[in-house]
Amino acid sequence: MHSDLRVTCGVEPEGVAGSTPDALAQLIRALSAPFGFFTPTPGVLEGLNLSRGVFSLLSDRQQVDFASVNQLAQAVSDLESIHLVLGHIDSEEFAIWCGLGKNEGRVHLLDLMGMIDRALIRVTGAQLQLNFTQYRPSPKALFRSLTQLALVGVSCDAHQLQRAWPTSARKPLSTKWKSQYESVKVFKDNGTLVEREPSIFSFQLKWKGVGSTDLAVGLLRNHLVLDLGGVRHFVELPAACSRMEPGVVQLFKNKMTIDFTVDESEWPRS
Amino acid sequence: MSEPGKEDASVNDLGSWLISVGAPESITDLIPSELARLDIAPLLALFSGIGLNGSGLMGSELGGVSVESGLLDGAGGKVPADEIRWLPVIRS
Repeated sequence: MHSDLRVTCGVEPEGVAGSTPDALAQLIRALSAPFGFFTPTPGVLEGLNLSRGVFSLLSDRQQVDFASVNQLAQAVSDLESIHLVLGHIDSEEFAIWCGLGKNEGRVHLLDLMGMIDRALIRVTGAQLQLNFTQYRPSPKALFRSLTQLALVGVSCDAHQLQRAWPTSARKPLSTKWKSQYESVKVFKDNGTLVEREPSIFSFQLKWKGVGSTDLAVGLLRNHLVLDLGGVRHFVELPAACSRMEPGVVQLFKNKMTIDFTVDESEWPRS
Repeated sequence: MSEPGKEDASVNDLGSWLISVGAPESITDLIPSELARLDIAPLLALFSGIGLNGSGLMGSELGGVSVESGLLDGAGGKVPADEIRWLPVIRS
C-alpha cells in the first residue's frame, strides 16, 4: 500500500528544524542528554543516534532526504528498535526517565509508540527515489544496502534504479547486477513454528536469498532479532518459544530455521 | 549556562534546570508551563555531590529510585531486559 511519503536516497538531508516535528519527540530528545534517557537500556538501543534520520521519519513532511540507502535502512531500524524497547517499558519507568508525572508518562509513551507505528507504516509504503548525482556506490555496496532496506520492509523499484544509474555512470548496469537488484525481495514473513521431532520445534522464516547474506540472529525477550550489518528487524516469536531453549540457526538459500528444544523441567510429565 | 557538573544554586525549577544542563532554551515552550515551573529543589538536593551531568548516570541511580529494567537470572543476579542473546548460525 502506498503512502504520501516520498523518500530520496543520495541527497544530503536538510535539518528538520523548520518542519515542526512533534513536540513530544523534541521533548524526549531534549531530555535524553541530561537524564541519560537511553542509558538504562544499553543493549538494543546502544549506538542509536536520534539525529541520524529518525526525526525525519517521525516528522509529517511529505518529502524526506537521506544521504544513502544504508542511512535510510538504519533510520528505519532505529525506529523499530525504539518501538520494541518502548513496548516493554513500564509506563512508570518511562515517566521517571522523562521527569514526568505518572499519567503524563503513560499518555506520552502511548503517543510516542503510536507516532512510531505511523512512521513505520508511512515509510514502508513510501515512494523511493534514488539519486546518484552526488555519490554513486559500487554495485556490490548498493546491493547490500538494498538488502538491508528490504529487511526493514522497504522496497526499491529496480527499474527506477536503472533509470537513475546513468546520471552518474558512463556504463550502464551490467545484466548481472540488474538481475541481482531484481532478486531483492522485501522481508514479510511472520514465521511458522513446526514440530520437527518430539521435544524439538523449528521456527521457520522465508526470505528469498537469505542464505547468501551474513545475517546474524539473536533473541530479545519474545522477539527474534535479525541483524544485517547493524540494520535490525524484529519478529515476534510464538508464546510457546518462551518456555523452550533456543538452539542453532540454519540459513538455507531462501529460508532460515531456528530450533527450540522443550525444557522438560518447564513441562514436567504428568 | 552553568559549568557542567555544577548546579546553579538559583536554578530551582525544571525548565531553568534543563537549560542549565544543556537543553535548548526552546524546551520551555515545549513542556507545559506547570511542568516547567515545577520546583525541583528537593530533587536537586538528592543529586547534590553525585555529579549527574555527563556522568552517564542511569535512571536506577537517581536518588535511589529503582527504575532499571531487567530479569532475575535465578542466581540472584539481574540480566538487562534488552540484552540480545546471539545464536550460532550454520549456513547450509
